Amino acid sequence: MSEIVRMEHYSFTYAGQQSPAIRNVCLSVRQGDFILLTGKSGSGKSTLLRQMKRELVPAGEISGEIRINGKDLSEISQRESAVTVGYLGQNIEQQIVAEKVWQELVFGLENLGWNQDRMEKKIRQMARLFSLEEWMEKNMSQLSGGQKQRVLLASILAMEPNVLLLDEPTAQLDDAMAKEFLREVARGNRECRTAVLLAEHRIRYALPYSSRSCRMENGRLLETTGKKADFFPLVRRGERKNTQRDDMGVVLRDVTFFYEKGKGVLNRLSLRVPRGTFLQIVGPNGCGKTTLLQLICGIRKPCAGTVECYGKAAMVPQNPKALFSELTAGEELLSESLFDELGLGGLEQAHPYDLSGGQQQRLAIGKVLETKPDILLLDEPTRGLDNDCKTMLGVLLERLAEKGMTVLCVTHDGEFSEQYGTIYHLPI
Amino acid sequence: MRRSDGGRFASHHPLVHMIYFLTVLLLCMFCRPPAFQLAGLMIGIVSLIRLQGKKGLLLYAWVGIPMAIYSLLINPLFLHRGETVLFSLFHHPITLEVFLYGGSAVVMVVTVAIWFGIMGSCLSSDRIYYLFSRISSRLALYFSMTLRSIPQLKERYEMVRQGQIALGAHTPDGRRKKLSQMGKELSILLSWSLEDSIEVSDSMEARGYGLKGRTSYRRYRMRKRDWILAALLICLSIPVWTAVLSGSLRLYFFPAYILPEWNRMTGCAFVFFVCLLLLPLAEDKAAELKNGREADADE
Repeated sequence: MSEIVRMEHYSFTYAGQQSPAIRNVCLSVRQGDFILLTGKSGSGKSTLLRQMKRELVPAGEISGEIRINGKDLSEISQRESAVTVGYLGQNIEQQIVAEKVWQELVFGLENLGWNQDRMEKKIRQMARLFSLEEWMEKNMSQLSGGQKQRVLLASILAMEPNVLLLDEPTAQLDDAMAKEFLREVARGNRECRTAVLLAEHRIRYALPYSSRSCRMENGRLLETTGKKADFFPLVRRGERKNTQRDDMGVVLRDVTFFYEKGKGVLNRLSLRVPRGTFLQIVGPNGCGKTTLLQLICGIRKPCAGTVECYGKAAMVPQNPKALFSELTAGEELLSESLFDELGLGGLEQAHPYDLSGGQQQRLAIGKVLETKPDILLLDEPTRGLDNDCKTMLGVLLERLAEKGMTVLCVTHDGEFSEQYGTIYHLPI
Repeated sequence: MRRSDGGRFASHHPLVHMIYFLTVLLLCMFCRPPAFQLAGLMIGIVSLIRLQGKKGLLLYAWVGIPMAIYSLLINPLFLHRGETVLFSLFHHPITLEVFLYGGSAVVMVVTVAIWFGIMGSCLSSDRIYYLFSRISSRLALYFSMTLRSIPQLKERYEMVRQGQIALGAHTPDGRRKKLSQMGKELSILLSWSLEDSIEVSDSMEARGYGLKGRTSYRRYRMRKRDWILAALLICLSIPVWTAVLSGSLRLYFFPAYILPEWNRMTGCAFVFFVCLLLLPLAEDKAAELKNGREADADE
């Protein structure tokens, strides 16, 4: 089968940095391949993927060779690059261009200058393949994260690329959506004969579809042979301790909340959380988990019942970007001890937007911690984090609980909630 | 029952819609004899209720009432043209013609607003997108991107605001503090959106945006029924336009209120005008009758 991407002793150093981010990588991607790329965050997965897409290569120094369809990357025109290499990243919102689903689907095809007949055929084919028929008329903003990502996948595969680069595409999705999305990717790989290069933390779900897997470590690419060897479950670090105190942290009495009359989100919910508890609130989509946090920290008021907080409550929002207002991480977070505690040492000068997802998450937590809350609320804090980051977060939250802070965490992440804290199923 | 899909007329080709509504709106502005105005207003109201329910009318009452107050109560105090004096107020004559003039203007504006509303129900954003794309595919894209960015900005601002509340930054005391807090929130929103727009443009380029020869996808094709409707509405509008342009429908408010005569031309124009206005209702109704009982049960 024909070779689509070939990298020979390829190294890359970001502009202004000493050590290379990619070291001496050799890689060959052939038609129909499904290559799973694993590795900790910051190990160079994204950087490696971006090297293959002309428009996305970051500024820096390159040595070695990279060929796409036998042509050196520097000789490839924008048109060729757009046709040959598809790219889908983790930030869903930033990849959506149009208002309607069908407009999103035709965007790439219009750019390539396809004619009407060809577009129509392709749209119909993609809609059938990815079951999008019923959404075509909808606005993109009406879809859930997983649905948006699926539309984006279809709109990129519609352009018939030879290789599809996926940079942690499920980072913002919950487990169920991620599973489904990866199944769609596999379908695209099979039906469209597109080679897939997937950087992913959810190894468990992606492994069954992959034909090969590689691991990045400090910029080096290690080919892994045994599939099982790459499978790291989340392992808890440290002993489980009972950190609950005798006095109360949060007490809810018969709390009822609805956005519209007749459509109750929370129905006469009563909950007593002792101080020093680390509670993992779980439950299906739409059962009111986020609403519960908003009620506790006072963003919303209950329609009936009472919410009592013993002490100050503060919340870390789902998207950490909603909190950053300064130019450097050091200005966002003033206390140095907190910096080290969160594992952000050495990043004081970086712009918050330049940090990785996990680092942003921790910086946001730090920013909230600086307001010295007694009750810490977190909304899906493990989104987009690898196991190392999750462990770090779990340990941190347990330590805070031990110090007497009440920690309430809403999560979809089964592994995380099993390993750290106490699970609370929110009734529907 | 209210129809959410807009009925059969709404499913026509956007170009046909554009021609239709342009014709109706212009004619509603130019045909000022009371019979024409009344027909435009009544049929407009019925069509609007059909599309948007009775609640849809409220908005137009809000447009109409202040205008009516102005032109029927305030304007007559200052405008004293016209020869039929009704009574004197503070030694100023109040004339019938001024009332008629004001009433006609109010009806005209409300009628045009209502037909605009009907047009809005038929021309959804992707239909407007289509019309734009006939002019330029890039223009259409900008239109679509703008429509997408509005709810997104709103949503984001809400997230920023909630984030700040959750941090405990919202203190109700002091107007200056409140203002500076709002400034901070807007600046977070701005840097977030700018940062995002860099990524959006990367992603657009990665999908081939900026290549030469961009085409645009046409979602609508002129079908037989579109051609028929287009032909019909052009035929119906010709006699009306003839009457308008020949000046037969001209009426005078000052110095005296003079209506155009009813003759063959104006009568003909009136009948065709009414037919034109009834087209959407008639087509929807015909389709419903055709669908038979199913539609009846629905209504």
